[in-house]
Amino acid sequence: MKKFLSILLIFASFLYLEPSAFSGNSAQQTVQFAVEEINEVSVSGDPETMYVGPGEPGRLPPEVSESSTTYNITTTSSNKKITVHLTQSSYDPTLCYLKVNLQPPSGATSPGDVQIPGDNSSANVVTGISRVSQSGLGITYKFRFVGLDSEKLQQASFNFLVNFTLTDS
Amino acid sequence: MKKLFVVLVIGLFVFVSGQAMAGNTAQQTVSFQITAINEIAVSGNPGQLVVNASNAGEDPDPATDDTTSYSVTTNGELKKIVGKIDSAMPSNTKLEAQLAATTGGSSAGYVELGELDQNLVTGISLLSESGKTITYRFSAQAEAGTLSGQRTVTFTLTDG
Amino acid sequence: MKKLLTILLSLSLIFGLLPLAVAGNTFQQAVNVQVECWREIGVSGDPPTLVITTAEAGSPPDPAYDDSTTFSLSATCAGQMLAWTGYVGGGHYYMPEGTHIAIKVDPILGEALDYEQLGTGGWRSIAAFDAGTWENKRIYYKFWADPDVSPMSDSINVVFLLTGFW
Repeated sequence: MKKFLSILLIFASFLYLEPSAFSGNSAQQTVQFAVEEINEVSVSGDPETMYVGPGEPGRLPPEVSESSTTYNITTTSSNKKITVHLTQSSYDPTLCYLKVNLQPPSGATSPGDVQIPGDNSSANVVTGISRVSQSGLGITYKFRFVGLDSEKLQQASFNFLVNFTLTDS
Repeated sequence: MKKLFVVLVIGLFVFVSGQAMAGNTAQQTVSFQITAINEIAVSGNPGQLVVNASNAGEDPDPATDDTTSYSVTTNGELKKIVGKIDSAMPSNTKLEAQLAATTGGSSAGYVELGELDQNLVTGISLLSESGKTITYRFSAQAEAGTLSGQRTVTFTLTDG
Repeated sequence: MKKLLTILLSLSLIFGLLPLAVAGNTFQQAVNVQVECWREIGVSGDPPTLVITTAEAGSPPDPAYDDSTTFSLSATCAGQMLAWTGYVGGGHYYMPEGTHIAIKVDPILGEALDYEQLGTGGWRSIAAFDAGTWENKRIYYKFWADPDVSPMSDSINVVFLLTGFW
């Protein structure tokens, strides 16, 4: 009797542990999947140098612009934004401005030309970014003097390090 | 008279018992058959397929799993393995399966699974093989957003 | 120990050399703006004819003056404003015999300068400036003649040049 019960037990346990092994001409698997939060941005490179050339006599030199670079974005999240700020650099807003305009990805919004704060504070350049992957979106920079002051114009060139961050709104 | 009676009785036994009393040989009719055998089994469930990486500007990188396998035995000819899932995948995602071919058979490569059976391996004939790799590939467009779920995949060995 | 140090060194080199390759949710751009040194000047037009018509008996004719024209200037670097005169279309830089012309302008930097006589050869510095913009600064002309100059009429070219300090 004992032997018989043991055999029966072993047989029953096989049935419990390996149900699909005994399904005949069909077998099943449970496949679990997930998409996690992904937030990736990248850029094509650095823009070309902008040269401030002559202006009308008595007038400040005209604005110069550059739009040779692009950015790429992939996010699986909703309602993200891109902010901009300067790092390791700054400028005097009474002397000049540096503006940037990012082409928004589908469904998102750009306010147009945004002045990059001359200190290290941030400004929004694209908002309402949700669940999108897009490449080759345009970046346009604009620079202009708003005042010419020899005391402030201590250098013949300006170098800005501009940081863009994809973050929560 | 007695002798005649014995012969008659012996003759009666021969008549009644036919073959049993045929002498030093005997015969039997033995019937046998092999029924159709079509068995498929899997080694278990794959690990969770997690999409969590991407190059900026591109759709997220797919997630794959090849940790499970199937076994098949058939005494039929030109069978095939089909597969389906129990309900549609979330929007902007897809689940594909690739089954390694059996000897002499053909794998359809990666096949997107839906609620209707799709051919995965064809031309399966007269074999018994095990440990054939099942590879899953789960892909999602960015538009899918963040999500999680599961589906039951059913593989069936059937006529080709 | 050696192997571990080698691995650690390699890893630090890789991550040190490729910061932008693992940017994730941020990216950076180096934006460079070059300011070229340039100086631009414009004038409002030609002054009217400077006419000597009166004199006190016993004195040379009265000079003629004009301050009806202006200049505007923009510069991204410091410099000086020079003036030069010569015959229209000619290569000479002298006034007709016995006639004289002088020029001064509203100052840009510093005190106003006195009249500088033109037409005696070479450039005359009439103003200095820094980086900046100035509009409608006045140009002053003075024209006079010696008593023995007969009635005449002529014209000369006055050229203004913005340049660095020599």
